[in-house]
Amino acid sequence: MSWDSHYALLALPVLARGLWITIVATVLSFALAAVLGLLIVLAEMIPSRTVRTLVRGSEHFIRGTPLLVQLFFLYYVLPYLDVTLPALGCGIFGLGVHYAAYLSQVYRAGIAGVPPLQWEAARACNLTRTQTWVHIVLPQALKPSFPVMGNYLIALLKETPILSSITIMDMMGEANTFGDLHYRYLEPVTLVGILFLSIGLLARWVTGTVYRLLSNPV
Amino acid sequence: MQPLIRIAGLSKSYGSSRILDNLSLDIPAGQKVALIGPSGSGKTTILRILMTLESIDSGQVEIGGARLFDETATGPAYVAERRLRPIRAQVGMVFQHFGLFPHLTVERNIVLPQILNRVASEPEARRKAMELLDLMGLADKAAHYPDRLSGGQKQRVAIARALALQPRVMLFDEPTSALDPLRVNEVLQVLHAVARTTDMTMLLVTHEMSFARNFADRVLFFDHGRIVEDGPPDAVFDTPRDPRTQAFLRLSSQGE
Repeated sequence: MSWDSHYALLALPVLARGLWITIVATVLSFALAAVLGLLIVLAEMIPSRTVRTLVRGSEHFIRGTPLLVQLFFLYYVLPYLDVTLPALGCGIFGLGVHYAAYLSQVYRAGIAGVPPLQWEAARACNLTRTQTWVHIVLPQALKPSFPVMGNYLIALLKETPILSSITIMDMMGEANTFGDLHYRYLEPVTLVGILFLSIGLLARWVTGTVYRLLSNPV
Repeated sequence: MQPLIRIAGLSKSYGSSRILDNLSLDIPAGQKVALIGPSGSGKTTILRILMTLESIDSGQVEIGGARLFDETATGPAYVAERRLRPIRAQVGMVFQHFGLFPHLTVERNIVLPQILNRVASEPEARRKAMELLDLMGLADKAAHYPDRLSGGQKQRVAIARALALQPRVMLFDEPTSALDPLRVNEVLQVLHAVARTTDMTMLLVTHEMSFARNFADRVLFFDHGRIVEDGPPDAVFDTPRDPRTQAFLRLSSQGE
């Protein structure tokens, strides 16, 4: 089996369509994960045992069950309960919630890393609880979280092919269908690998640059 | 006249060790008080309670006639945050390890608390910050981040930040203990200047005995959570009555 450049060129526009879906799914689910992850951490601060147990419980449940099972549940089981979501919506929601559970751990570590003296100094300056979170704690907690979040962004990107299992035509879905059509997988699947590697590197460069800008404020 | 700070029957323990032992103390407005004594004798804890940073086991504290604690079934608890904030607004604190906000510039460290407390508009707050930095001899550091400053400079910024909120009571918790010996004087000079030029009530915990003497109009000697000597600096330093004070002063003068 040898590489067929003409066939690879034919596959490219099809993969480009899938690439678009991959990027949209990655960006939107990561944004959801970033916000939801923070909300999880903040919800745990609510001085109510019920809320805390509920949040912790769901978090463990999400981390403890495979993403594939969660996606199948969202896409194939929820319709029986009269909840029908479009496939891409299910995918973004599933990925977002799954990674929120991981990002909440990252945030938690960042917040724990803010020294107690910062909280005390904020109180001595008579800041309210909300002001302390917004102006003092979160800015300091998020900065060290950033490189780890970058890693999770790339992990999430690499996990998007799973979306093809619930009929979403992401890059992998398109490559698979294209291969099925021509009984030839070498070129489309290799190209998918190269494309993943490229956007992964691009994402790493972007997060690295943003982090450097954050670390050396002008 | 009613004292500005009134502490009555205050007790606090960590496990089996007693930090404050049924301590009572009144401080009139404008007084400059130095708290001295061995480590672990409760001096810092008093400051932390006044700053609402520390729970207590029993007793009551009033600042400007307002109570800090409510009596509950499980002992005294700080009054609701809504009532506590106006009391806390009257108190400022300078910490041993500075507690500057590392993600903000020197100027922003002083400006932000003013704005969040609505004591000044943004331009007023910045003018106030520059004025105070000037007083601290740090006008050229306004745009720097705290990690670029020496310990002495950090502490002067922390003093400026606390002063900017114009509290009635200033608490200084060993403000020079974490400093390089060569940097101690620059902070003490600033403290002295501030003490001489305001009518703020000041409580200073320190191990700098000669400074305590110059700074204070009243010296309290703490031992095992009690005040064992209370008087004007000359009396406490020259003619201490309690044997524990005598021993402590003899030892600390050997160190100097």
